[in-house]
Amino acid sequence: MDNLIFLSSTILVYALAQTGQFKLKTRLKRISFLFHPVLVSVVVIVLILVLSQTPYESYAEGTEGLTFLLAPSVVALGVPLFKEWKKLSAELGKILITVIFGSLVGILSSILPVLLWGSPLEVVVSLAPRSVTTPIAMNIANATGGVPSLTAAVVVTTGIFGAVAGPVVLSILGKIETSAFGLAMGVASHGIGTARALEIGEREGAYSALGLCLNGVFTSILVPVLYRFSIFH
Amino acid sequence: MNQPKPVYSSRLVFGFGVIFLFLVLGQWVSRYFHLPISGSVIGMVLLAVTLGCRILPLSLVEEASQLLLQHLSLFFVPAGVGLLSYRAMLKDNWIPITLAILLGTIITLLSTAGIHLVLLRTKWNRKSNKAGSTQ
Repeated sequence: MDNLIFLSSTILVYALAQTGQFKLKTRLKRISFLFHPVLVSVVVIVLILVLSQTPYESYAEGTEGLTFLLAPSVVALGVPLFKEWKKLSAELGKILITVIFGSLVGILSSILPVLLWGSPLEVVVSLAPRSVTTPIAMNIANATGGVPSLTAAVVVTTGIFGAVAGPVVLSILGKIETSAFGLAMGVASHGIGTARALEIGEREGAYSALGLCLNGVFTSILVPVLYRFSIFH
Repeated sequence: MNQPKPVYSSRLVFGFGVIFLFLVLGQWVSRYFHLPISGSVIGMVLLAVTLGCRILPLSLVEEASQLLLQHLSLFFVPAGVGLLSYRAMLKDNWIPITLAILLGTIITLLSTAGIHLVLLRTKWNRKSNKAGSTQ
């Protein structure tokens, strides 16, 4: 039970980061998005672990409880999905087209840089399902001969980057509809992006959850199909 | 949220039970049909459908779901710290991988939002098309 210190410190660092971001929001203005609690917590904890030469395994053991709550949280997304269903179902056709397109762009934009660089096939394959939630992405990587742990790393980085930079990047498009915002967050940065979207609003969160879900389905179909047509080689 | 709530709420406990039940159901479905989709995502869909069919009252799961979702970001922190253990794997390919992540995410964000905006703002003359096709 020694490792429980990591659980408490993770929660405390996160709570401090959240309070800090909230308090400094008015002062930091434009750059306040950089102080996203997940990003700050990860950086602080990584520094602590590296400086104290703590093996990651003990940290992971201690924080298993938090990671465990991810799965029921994804299930809980069914609630905003249901609440906003009337609105969502009315535009389901458009949502489907958007997510299929976004899924394809997500895959191609992941594999192009590594293909052009000439990275080995297993790296290309590991990166292809980058934009979907970790368990689905690891399933896909497994099925196509990728390295699931590399996929997990890339997926998490994508999620954090999308959650932090997403709202700023999307503001380039000007003031956009809730649906476009939510779908983009869910399709591009899965669960972490959805968590960010939920912070903005329940409707944003619902669109994002739907984006995450549908993107998981389409990417699961598209990656193996693209792989079979040897687009990755 | 504005209404005062009782300190002890059995709905919260119920809600957690129901959410975990749907997680288990989702995992069963995923395994039984050999689906590439994870049990939690299937559980999410099953939960929304069950709520939609009025089999399950919203009030039973709302509080528990709210509690989990309010702190969803926190649950991702250990996974983020996990990046630490992947340093060695990235060594030869870290440049294209970083590019793929940064550029790929920006491109995906903009093109997903972009196409949806185009779809929303395009005027579909569905009625006139239908009128034209039915002769």
